Amino acid sequence: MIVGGFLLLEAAPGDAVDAYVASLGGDAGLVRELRERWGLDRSAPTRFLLYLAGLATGDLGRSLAFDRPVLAIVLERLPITLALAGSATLLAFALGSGLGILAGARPGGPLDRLLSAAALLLNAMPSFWLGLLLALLFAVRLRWLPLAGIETIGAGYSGLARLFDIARHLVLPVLTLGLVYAALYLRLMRAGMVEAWRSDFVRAARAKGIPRRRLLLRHVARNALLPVVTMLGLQSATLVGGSVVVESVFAVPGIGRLAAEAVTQRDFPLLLGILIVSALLVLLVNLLVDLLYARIDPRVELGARAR
Amino acid sequence: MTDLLLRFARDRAALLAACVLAGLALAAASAQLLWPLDPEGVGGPPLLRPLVDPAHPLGTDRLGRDVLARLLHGARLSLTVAFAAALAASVLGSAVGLAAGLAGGRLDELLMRITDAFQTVPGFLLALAFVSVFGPDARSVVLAIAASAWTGPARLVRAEIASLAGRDFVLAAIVAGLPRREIALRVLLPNALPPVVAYAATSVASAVLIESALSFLGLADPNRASWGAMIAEGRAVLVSEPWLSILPGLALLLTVLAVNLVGEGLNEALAPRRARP
Repeated sequence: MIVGGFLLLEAAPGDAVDAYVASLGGDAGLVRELRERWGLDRSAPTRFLLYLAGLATGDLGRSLAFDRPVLAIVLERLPITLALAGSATLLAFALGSGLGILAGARPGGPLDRLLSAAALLLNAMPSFWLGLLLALLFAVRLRWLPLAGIETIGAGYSGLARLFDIARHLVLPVLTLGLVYAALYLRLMRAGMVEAWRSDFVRAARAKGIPRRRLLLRHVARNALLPVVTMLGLQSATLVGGSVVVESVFAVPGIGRLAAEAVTQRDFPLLLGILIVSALLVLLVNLLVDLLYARIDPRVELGARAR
Repeated sequence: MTDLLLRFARDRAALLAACVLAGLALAAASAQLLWPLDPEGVGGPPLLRPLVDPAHPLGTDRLGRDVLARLLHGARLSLTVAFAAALAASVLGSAVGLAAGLAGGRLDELLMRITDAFQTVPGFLLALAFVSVFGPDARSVVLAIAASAWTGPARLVRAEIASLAGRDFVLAAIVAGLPRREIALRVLLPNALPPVVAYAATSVASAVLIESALSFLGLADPNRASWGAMIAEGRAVLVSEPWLSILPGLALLLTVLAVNLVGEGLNEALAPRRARP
């Protein structure tokens, strides 16, 4: 317990600050590398220092392709990606841990086999391909949902109607991104539960005659949830990469698609700005996960009064 | 070693997956012999459906190129890039992990902060940046994937070294007066490697996926058939001719599934003490 609390204290704020500084360092390395490429046909090496100076005041430079400040473009597109990635994470977490509990309730049973096989398949699917299949089914064949974009152009919706329209456009991208991660969380949850069933504390709880249902939820599942929550934080970085692909498939104008555009248009200041902003986001998410962790795991206490 | 193979072979799914993977690799390596059609050449009428013309069993694409030939050559690209990237990431990561674990102190701190930094930057964005700077050929794709994948092995090796450091056989080597270099390379490294091997399998799987995603976004050599690019090309006629996107996707699915199962099998075989689910 003491170790747990201590580790969290050691890990959470210290790591965040260190990684913050270090991530700027890492990005600076990239800046240097990019500048070497540029330096041949573009301005002097002082650009790098200027960029760092600008960064300190929150200035990410100007986009070459849009001819506007990078920060403004990124902030404009960010909410869409946050909505997409956030809903996908919620879906993945709910679906993954829920089905994981079902699968892990009776390891080796028919339901477990079915769910595990499905998760294995889903886990091996390229997200853009899954997206295309879903689009083919729900947008083209069944015509339930719009194929691409973020809202119906020229529909002139406002207020709630507009919000609903946007939500309808986000269903397929969220489903695509969410399903891929749901498979991961399901496998993790199940594996954790298999481990927990074997542990001494579950055996002890069983011996005390705690009903199976209560045992399953309060003891086994709760313990298996911890690695899943940890994974939530670890996956936040790959989630940004995932949204690059999924936003491109569904033509969602978020920062992921912006990154792909920046690459094809060789807009390095923009790409760099996106890298920095997403690294900051990842740090923020990890901080949130650390806080969440403290709520779930009774062993960890924030500001630990550990003895 | 035989022990390891025996344990691996006991896992039927992993064994089957290993055979599938070997078959894929063989087919990819002998693509010209197996199916001599040119993957880039126009060999037939455009948009021929699969299972219609025996000359093009899987049909042709919008330009009349043979889909089977393109799939086989795509397998070659995909597998080479993925294995090369996983190997590069494992070697680089192990080197960093070994250095950090052995040196301790300032160097350890520095190396681990760099590792942190790389883990905060989304790997796929880093790969995008890499490819956009160095151009979209296979070699830069390998570098791009390795640049974001080396952090895993680095952490693993460092952690292993830390846990091995106090063990009796390491202490024995020190007492026996072995030079530091010998201890590092002959005693510590081989014992720290098993988890890296198991991890390498998962990084092959993710490398296959990253390569396909990059080529799907049009960031691959346009003159070489690749699965991701085939799916992207098929999008233009997705509604009328969906198989053009579906077939390469199935190839990707099969490959990643096989790699994952082999990886799981390796993991179990390398760590037999861990409970089997």
